[in-house]
Amino acid sequence: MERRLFLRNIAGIGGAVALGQWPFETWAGTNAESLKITILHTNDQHSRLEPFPKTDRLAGRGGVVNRARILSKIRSEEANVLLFDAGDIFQGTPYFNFYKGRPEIELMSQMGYDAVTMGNHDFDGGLELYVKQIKEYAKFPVLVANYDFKGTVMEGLAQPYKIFTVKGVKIGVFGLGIDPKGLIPEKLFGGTKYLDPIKTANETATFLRQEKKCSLVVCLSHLGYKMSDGEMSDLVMAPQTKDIDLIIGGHTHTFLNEPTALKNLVGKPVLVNQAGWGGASLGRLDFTFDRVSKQVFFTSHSVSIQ
Amino acid sequence: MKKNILLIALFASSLTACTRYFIAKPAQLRPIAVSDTASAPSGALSQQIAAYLQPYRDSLETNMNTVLVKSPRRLSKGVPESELGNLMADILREMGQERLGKPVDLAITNNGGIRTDFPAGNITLGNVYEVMPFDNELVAITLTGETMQKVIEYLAQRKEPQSGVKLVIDKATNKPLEATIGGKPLDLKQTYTLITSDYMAVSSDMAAIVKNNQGFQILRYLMRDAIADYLRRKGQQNQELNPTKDGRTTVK
Repeated sequence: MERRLFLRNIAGIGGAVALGQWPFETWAGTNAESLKITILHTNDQHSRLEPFPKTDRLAGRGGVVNRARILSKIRSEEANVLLFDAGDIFQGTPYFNFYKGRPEIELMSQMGYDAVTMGNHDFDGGLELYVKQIKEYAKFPVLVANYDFKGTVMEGLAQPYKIFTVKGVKIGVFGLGIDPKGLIPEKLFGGTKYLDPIKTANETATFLRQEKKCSLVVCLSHLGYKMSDGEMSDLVMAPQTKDIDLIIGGHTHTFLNEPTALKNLVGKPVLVNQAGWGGASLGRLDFTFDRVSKQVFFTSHSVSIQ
Repeated sequence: MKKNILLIALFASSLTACTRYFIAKPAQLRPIAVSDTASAPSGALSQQIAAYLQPYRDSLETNMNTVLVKSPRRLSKGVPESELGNLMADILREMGQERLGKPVDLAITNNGGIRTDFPAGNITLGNVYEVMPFDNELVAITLTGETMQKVIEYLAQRKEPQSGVKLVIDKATNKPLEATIGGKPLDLKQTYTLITSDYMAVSSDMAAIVKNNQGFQILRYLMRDAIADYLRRKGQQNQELNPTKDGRTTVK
């Protein structure tokens, strides 16, 4: 009963909902009474550069050209837009088999992605290939906090987190990769070490919130929305965290009409969102930082790309 | 009664929790109508992206239309054996053997994974993608004779495409009546090498059987690439495809 009431009030789409109090002491970049920041996100693009074919359940949805049109429209309406991806950019259409991920990465750079995390399929062509395409064609950072790449070709390329400062408001963003066991062949995962996602998430998020004074902490996760047998997932992780406000998920190809709101370790809300797969949908969350009430509000939309 | 009090307490605490989060909306915060995405006009960015994509699309199309080999007739799948099923299993065995670098006793694929026919006439790379859209990889598994026997029992039950066993299946029980590997009866004391897809090895009903193995190697070779490589080679040797139903799997 408690949970239902909580969800209904916290996660209503369309209406504005308060997320709680945020540190505002760092907000010096504007004198405005409120600041709106729009977060857009995709996940599990799987090399789907063209819209889904006629034979597919998602026929006509997606496609980078359609996505670009919609991104331009949103950017023309909103001043502060951030665009993220939660991994599995690679693998799934002949584009990847033939061009080895170059167009995927180059197109994401053109579309103005601000950061991505790694999915298990991003290892498919080998870590060397991923590193090559990112080094040559990415204008965005790769964020993964729980893979220790020491001694691999990724060392120094992936960062655990990045802080985006929007008119003085700091948005801390970090990434989480999935447990490679049984998913990524050892040969491809190489010397990469997988670290406990919850422990890493809490350390990173607390650092971003407490030390770096971020007003919003976002986790790009490829753990999956919900897994069988209570395995590690966003829904398992979220209640065991503190200091994360939003988990942008992937891996399970979950279409959500609205983010799932859960309570974290200290009873504060944490949102979990995911935007299906193949670029068929674009997740959208608009956060308003209100100086007068010292609260942060959000609204959400699932934007169909077509 | 005690339960009711607890419920009321929970309800009350949830109410206070809500009031904590719920305060008046700031005036400028309204839901934004973005669902009207069809009206998003094309602009500089989408035109740039379309222009970037075009040469990749053209080149992909050219690749997909590349003729690998010719087939004198349409090739279809079926049970207990079929031209297309036999071809697929033979390809798996031959190309897997090359990749592995040692003899393979048996190759198994699944009828469910063969998604369509090969047409009569030209077979293109696009046809290969249609027949095998999944990114399944070849795996090599070393098995004891005893496990191999269970694999053959599985084969008899399911009548999946195979290359390597001469198999006679009992019509009434779906159990193997006769099975020879490389012309010899199964030797329970020998070890055997099986090539199959990672799907069959890990996710199918055969997975539980081959889990008990003496060695498991992912060959990092997509089934689709193995098929395309095989067909391309046949074409380059001016051969047409001519798979037959050779009686390797029969029901009696």
